[in-house]
Amino acid sequence: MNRIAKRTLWLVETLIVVIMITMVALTFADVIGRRLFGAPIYGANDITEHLMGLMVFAGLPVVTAGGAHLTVDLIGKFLDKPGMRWWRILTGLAVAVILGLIAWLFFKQADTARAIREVSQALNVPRAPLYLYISASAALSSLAALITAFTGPFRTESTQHTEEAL
Amino acid sequence: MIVGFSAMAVAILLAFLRVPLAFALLGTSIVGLGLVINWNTAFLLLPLTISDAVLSYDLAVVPMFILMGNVISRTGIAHDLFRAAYAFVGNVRGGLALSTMAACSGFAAVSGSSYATAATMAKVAYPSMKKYGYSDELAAGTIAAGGTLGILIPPSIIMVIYGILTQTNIGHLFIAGVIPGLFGLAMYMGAVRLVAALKPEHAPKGERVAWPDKIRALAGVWPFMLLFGLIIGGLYGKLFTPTEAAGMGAGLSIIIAFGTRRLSLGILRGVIIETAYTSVALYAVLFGALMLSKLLTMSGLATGVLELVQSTGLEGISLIFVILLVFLVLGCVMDSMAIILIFVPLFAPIVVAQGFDLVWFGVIVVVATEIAMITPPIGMNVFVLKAVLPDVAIQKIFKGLIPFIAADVLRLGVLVFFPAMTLWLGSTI
Repeated sequence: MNRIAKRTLWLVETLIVVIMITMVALTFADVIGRRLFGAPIYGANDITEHLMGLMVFAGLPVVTAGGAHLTVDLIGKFLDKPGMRWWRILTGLAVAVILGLIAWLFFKQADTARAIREVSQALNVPRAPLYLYISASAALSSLAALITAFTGPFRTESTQHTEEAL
Repeated sequence: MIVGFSAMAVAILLAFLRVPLAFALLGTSIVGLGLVINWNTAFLLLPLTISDAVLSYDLAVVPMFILMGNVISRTGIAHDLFRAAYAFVGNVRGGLALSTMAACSGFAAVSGSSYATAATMAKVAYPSMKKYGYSDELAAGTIAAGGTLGILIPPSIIMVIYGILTQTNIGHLFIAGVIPGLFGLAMYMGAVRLVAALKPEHAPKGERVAWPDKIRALAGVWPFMLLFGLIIGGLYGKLFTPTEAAGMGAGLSIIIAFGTRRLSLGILRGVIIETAYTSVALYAVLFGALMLSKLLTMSGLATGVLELVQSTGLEGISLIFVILLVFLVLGCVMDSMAIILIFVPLFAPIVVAQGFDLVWFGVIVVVATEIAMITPPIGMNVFVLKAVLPDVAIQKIFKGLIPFIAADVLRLGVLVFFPAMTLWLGSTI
């Protein structure tokens, strides 16, 4: 189990790295192309938007499982007491429900997008697959929230720093 | 209106009970919209809001600027900035504190985080100040205050969030932050000089550095200074949009960091992943804040508050002061990002109705919330510093902060009464 989890995490993180590098390289090339050679990359904005969507929802399950969402930690000591375990579980369950709702709504949204043939502005990329991807990510995140409600967050090296950075 | 108000109160209560901010906002907004309008609308708005935000080109500025900051932070820039500043101003009275201030503003501008700056600079600058016999008050006060400086100096993530929430041009916000940010640095340096003049024993002189060494000290910082010049200049000259500036900045910082052999592929991978997770967390709270702002509008709370304000007869600058007071009080218990996410959508319509400029309002709101980071009872920066420097008493840090808080209040007053300080640079574009 542990090995599979590590392997999956490595894959997701590699995907994130590839997306981010592509996004930076694309913007870089687009700006240089336009300013120096008068030749921007057609649809660069459109591609960047898709890459953003892919990145955010690739990371969401990991951030949720790692307990790295932004929190206001004012009375943390009190909430960490063993007697407050019920509240931590309840919080996790509520998060799972909201993420589950998002998953369901995007699943339906994908249907609608397919029916009305919703596409992106410049490159006419169909929206439905992206909505399905978001739905799957939210569903996974919901599952992660459900499990970590009882087990506590699975800290990885990278999710630990997230809160400090914000 | 009652539902809107209750939803906001519940969201804040839940946030204090450590429900992740994103979900406190999302949950209460969905329920609120369900009750005020109907559930179908709430369920329709949720995916629309999320996909609009996540597929927004303007918002792509967030991960790329965070990436740039994280890459530069990893290159040991904090030490370089401090060394360079020390080489130039170290030998005057209070010189080490002045160097710390300059390094703090540089590092905070890059990292965009008050906490990260306070924590990093405490490790970099505090030992030197102790070595030269600086008092704990001045040393710790300088670092805690210095962390708040970079928030206005572009690129500023909080300005991006403000821009998205209020539909204000992000490029204009960036440009508007430059002068108030540098003004803040000048005021803080003035405060250091004043302390050094009044209590010379708190701030002895450092050593004089010879010119060749001064030039050498600049070696580590000049590529990044050029990079910053390019970004701010490019935004000012409309060479590129904020998102393009962020992409250029991230790309160039990676190239510079590799070129100067301060970055390996392994570290870059870690930095990118960390950046992505920070961005995900930020996007999630933004989804929540955008949903809440929809609830505020649809529940009539926004108009209700507007009418309430009008009925009190409060207007003009006195109204702005009341709003700033609210932000200062909130800042005692929440950080800048949370306050801006929750309360800006509520206050922005009032400010617009009074005929004020939203760019100007953005700058003064950010300054107000940052002041709150260093004021008692709960100055978040002070606690971060205390964690890094466990031997320094918290009272001493707060005492050392008094001159800087005074400088900040003065700066806020100047920015409120002289909007030109904020808006002039943008008007010359």
